[in-house]
Amino acid sequence: MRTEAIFMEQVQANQGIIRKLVGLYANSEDERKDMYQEILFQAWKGFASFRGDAKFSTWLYRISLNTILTSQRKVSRVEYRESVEDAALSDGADAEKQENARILRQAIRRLPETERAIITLHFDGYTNPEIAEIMGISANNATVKLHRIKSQLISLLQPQLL
Amino acid sequence: MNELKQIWEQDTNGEDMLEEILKSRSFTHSSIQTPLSKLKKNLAIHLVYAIVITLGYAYIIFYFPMWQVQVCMLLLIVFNIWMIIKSYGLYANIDLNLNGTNVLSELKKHFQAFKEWEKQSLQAALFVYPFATSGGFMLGGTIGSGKPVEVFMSYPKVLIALAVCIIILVPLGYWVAKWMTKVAFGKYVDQLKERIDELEKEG
Repeated sequence: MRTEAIFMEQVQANQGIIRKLVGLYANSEDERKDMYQEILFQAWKGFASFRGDAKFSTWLYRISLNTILTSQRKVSRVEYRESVEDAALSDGADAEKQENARILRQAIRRLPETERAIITLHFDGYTNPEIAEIMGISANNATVKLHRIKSQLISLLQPQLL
Repeated sequence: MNELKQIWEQDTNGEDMLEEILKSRSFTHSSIQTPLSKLKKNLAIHLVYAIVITLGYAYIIFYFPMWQVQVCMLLLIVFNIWMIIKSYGLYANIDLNLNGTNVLSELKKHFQAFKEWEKQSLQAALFVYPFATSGGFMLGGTIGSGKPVEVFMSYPKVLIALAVCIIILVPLGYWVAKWMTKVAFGKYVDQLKERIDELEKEG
């Protein structure tokens, strides 16, 4: 019971990782819930072996990406329509922030699946060697990829955000 | 880029998701069958079938004392045991945990498991079908004609018919096995390959 409480505490503190990743890969509301649940399940299953060598957030990131990228899904580069309720909840400055976030999400979704992972790791503050380690590629490759992804993203967002 | 980072940090989309999932579902079990867990389950079912079929071959050896049929069945038993050992090896090596390694290794682990399964299915088609066809042909022919195997197999027409059966059934079996593996997990394996290539491509 105590383990479950510690696990939940850690997940709650880092839920943004799962939430944002799921938003970039799921193609429907149901798929979003399934994916979220599967990540939680995989994390819970592996929690006993988590020894704290890495930060919990890094470990959760790795599990989330492994779960998402090894899952079987239709690959879609277009965001599914968010519910009207979600949109209605936000207004004013917050609405603008959320609209910008939606545009950014949509642009990231246009990237190939593994590149989405690399750019989100970068946005979440991971260094290039850390991204390389999580993705299993060389640091040099991560740097080159990231540079290319950034240019691609900027050109995708130029007319809307930048 | 910093502006984008800021937008990313402010994204609150789906913030109530965790609560919602915890209310309606449990995280201590999963109702979702991943392709790898499906493969593991399929392998377990195949192993049970393979053992039952092997016992069936042993029964034929015991109850039909025709040395030609017995040789075919014996070879089938040997191949089946070989396949059972290989399949069990694959089954035991499939690790459903996703927390051990980096993304690329995890993708490769999944990809290799499916490729190995495909290879085993095709090997079974190539090695098992010729002997299964010959054994079945001789057994059915002798029982149907009421003649001993030597006599039944001495007719040139029968030999030609056996050769035709092998020539048609073995490639057909191989093709069916290939098609079935493609139907079962083909798209998924292609998806894995695409993700591996994306990561391995320099730059």
